[in-house]
Amino acid sequence: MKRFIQVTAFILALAFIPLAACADRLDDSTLLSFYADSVIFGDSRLQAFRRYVQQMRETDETFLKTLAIAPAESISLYAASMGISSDDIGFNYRGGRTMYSIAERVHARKVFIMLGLNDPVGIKADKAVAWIIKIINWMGKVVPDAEVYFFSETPVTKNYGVKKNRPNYQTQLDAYNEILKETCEQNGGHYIGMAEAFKGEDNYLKEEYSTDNICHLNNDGVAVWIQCMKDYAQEQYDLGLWDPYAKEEETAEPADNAE
Amino acid sequence: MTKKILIILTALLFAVTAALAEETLPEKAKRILQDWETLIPLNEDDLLDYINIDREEYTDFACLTVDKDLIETEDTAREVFVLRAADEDAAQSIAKKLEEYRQWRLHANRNYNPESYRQLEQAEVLREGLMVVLSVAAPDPDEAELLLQEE
Repeated sequence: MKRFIQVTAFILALAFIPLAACADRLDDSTLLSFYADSVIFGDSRLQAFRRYVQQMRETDETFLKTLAIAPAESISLYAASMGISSDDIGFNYRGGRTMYSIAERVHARKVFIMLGLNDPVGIKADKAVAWIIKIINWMGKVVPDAEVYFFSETPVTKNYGVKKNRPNYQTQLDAYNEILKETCEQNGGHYIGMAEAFKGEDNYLKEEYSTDNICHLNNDGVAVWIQCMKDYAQEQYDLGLWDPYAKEEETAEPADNAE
Repeated sequence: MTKKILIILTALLFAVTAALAEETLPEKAKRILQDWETLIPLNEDDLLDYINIDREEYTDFACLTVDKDLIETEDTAREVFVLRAADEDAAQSIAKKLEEYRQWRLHANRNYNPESYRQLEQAEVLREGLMVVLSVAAPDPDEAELLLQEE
């Protein structure tokens, strides 16, 4: 009998541990502070993100307030990695035209990247490995204290394959995301997986998340993106890798985009 | 003496009323822009971050970009910028920066968004006195001129 009670108590205790962990869900504002004093680079998908954040800030001016959002509509992962800035391509943020100059300019604590749509990386996965490593290494030189994070490539709709004559592109994107994850882990970067959150049962981007039924995101799609960002921050907290309550170290130069 | 005081008070009343009635640029934009409801306002941070226009350079502004969730195409460059500069030098500076911004968007869209490219190519930065306007893809061809006019 005594043994039975002991075993039952042990099992009950084990059952309560995950419940206790889940109970410590941080609030949205705290979760989004993970992205404070940082910069995010991206292509036209980030334009949608930027518009969404602008709308959110109409009612909540603190929403991702110190996240510098730097989209460049048609930029490729390749061009961004090479620090290429010409008349035709390049970022444009506070006078900076490359990811590296902008990250340095804003004293980014973290650098987030959403690029690959315009390469397109699904069919250039092997070459993309070198570009990803280049970004991690180059950022390490210009903002040595910053961590570099790559978002997984968002899925495309079935219509993308028809429009672009790439019927297997989603499968190629899935493979690319695995390569991206592995490359990040092996080279000091971080991978934020979120592709699955956008997909329907057919493994494609849900049309309800897209403006053009090809690859661009609407507000509902960006809301999913933001949720994935919160989930990632929660995961980092749960793993003990991030403490939102830790006092920041005083630095000689405060971030340009902090107010 | 009483008559003089009355005249002065009446003049003051008119001046205050006129000042209160002066239309702000956001109000003006709302009145003039036919597609106002499909546009999202930009704020001072956006002007600084993306166009490098400093807060000290203007006294009033209305800047809007299209909400692509409310329209049927990704291929549009619809945006509106109207600013009242702080002085002549600032007006010149703002006009230059808006033109640089237009060029940047023009080149970014050249190979991918033909309609956006066409719209940006046709747009022009206009300046009259302290007012500076860049209107892209306006549904009303007179939009820029209307925004430029000071009442």
